[in-house]
Amino acid sequence: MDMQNIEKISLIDKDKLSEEFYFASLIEEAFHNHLLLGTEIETLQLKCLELLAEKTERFTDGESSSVPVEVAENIYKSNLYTIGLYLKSLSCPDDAVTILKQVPLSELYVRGRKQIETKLKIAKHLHIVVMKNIIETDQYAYRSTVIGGIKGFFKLYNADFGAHEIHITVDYPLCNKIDQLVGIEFIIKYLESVYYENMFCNCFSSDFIHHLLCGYDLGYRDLVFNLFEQVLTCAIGCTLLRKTALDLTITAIQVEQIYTLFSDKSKEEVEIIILATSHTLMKDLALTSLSLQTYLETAMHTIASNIYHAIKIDKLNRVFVSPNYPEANSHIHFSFGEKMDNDKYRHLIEEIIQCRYLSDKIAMIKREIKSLADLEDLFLDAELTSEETKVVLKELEVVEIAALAKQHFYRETESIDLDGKVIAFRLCLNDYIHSLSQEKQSAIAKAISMMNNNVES
Amino acid sequence: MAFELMNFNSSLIQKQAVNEIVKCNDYTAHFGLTLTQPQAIELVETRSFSLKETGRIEFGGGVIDKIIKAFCDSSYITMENYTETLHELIEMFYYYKNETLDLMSDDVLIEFMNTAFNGVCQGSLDLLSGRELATMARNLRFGHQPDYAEDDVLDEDEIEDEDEDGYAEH
Repeated sequence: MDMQNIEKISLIDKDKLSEEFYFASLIEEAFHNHLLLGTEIETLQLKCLELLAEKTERFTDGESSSVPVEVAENIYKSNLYTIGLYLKSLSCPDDAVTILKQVPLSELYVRGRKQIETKLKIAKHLHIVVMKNIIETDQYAYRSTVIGGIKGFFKLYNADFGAHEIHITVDYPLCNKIDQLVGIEFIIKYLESVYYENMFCNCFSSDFIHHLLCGYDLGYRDLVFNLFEQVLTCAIGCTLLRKTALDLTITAIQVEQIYTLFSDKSKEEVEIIILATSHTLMKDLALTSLSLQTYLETAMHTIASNIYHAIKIDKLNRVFVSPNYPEANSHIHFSFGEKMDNDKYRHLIEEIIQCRYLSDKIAMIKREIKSLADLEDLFLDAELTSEETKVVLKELEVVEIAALAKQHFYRETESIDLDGKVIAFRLCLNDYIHSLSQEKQSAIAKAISMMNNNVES
Repeated sequence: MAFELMNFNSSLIQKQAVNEIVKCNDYTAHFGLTLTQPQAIELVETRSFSLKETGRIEFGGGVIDKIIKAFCDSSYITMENYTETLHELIEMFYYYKNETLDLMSDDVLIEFMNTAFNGVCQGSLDLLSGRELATMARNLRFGHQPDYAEDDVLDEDEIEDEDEDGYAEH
């Protein structure tokens, strides 16, 4: 028999004690279990009042004998939280009651206060560790809470008069919600959870995470949701499909396959399958940390529940999202380049004008022209015929044609004010584009739309 | 059994406060002012009522003994109006602790009340509460000094304007 695993039998049921209001719930349970008498509780109340009076005097620096009730209540809650923190650290609630009877309340407060100091140091260290394994993402809620918010907590936390408060809003939600904990205990638990979530997400490339989140919503940077839950759900989906989870890619067809897999399953069956899949995933990703494994197992309840409910309303594609690649629709930044020396350009134009054969002209253009800016000028100055112009245009890439078309879009209404050479070139370019295949025309149109106003001439 | 702050039995505190008030008689007797035990209890009751009305909480004997010691040498207080004045001063004190947003310490507030009562108010509690304390509380809330006077500033501005316009020379 392993003697270390034997727990002392306690009259007070630990599960009935509140994490948030530990001191008050301990006294209540102790009273119900006849470990504390009514008179003993009254004495404790008076001691609490004495402690409150002492702390209030410190709060006002002895300058005011009265304070608003809200202020007194806050200090009172802070005192009880601090004492509760120490009592919670004792192995058995019955022992805590015994200590409560034997040790003065002010001494218990001092012990609790020391624990807060230790916990503050732990929290600060945890924050440093979390900052080292932070997920590379632009999601505002994540960055502002994990970086700025927690720093704000350390600045604002007042262990003397508001030990139970956290002051910050902690907007970024966790996958595994933290219930009941307050004050420094909440912050430690929050940072631990973020650390595990980061540890898991760091198994994947930040690019894949970004594309997955774009699939969730293109404006995900401004949304408040848990990143880890999305990554974990996708990874579980990939594992269910017996494919690598590392690329975080599930297609619409694969979502259908997952749907088929779960469509006739009960909630319990879904949970069992998901839990088993999570073990495979942990094995695949070589996640050996026991704490992380426990965290992931807890998260599986949320994931399984999400899947079960999504199947019920036929919205599984909102749980298993397919990645989106917004950069595929990004803008083209095009430059016409530097113009050549004026004398050299003039000399080239004269030669082209004097040249009899088109092939020679093409050869000269290919040899001497190095930028689209020069080519654009050449079209206007070299006195090329319409056919010659079209032959030169044929030598250009789609994106170059698009850049020229962007600059020289032919509109009859505008042509009145333009130079004859410009109108001739625009007409020629317009004819050339229309003579191309439909596929090329749409490629040029797409390139033009992607250029917006980014063309530099 | 709820372990709430407001459930505390405050009889012990009340008793302590009454004792402190009665003890003040040793000092105030020099000015011909004394309080009986029932009168002291009534003052503590007024304190409890005022605290409840203003949403405040006080530990220990409170400020009643301080108020008594500060005001007992006033020429406007006699045995006839002693307890009545104390009741009003106690109510006023807690009301203006809130109105001044706790920016003023107990001692400074009592000092201000005492100076105004024996000075510009000439023993009038109505003037003390309705004018002097109200103005002082408004000044503090607006970030001014307690004795800041808007009229003084206006007067100074007017003088400056007159100087600029040259009226003062005529």
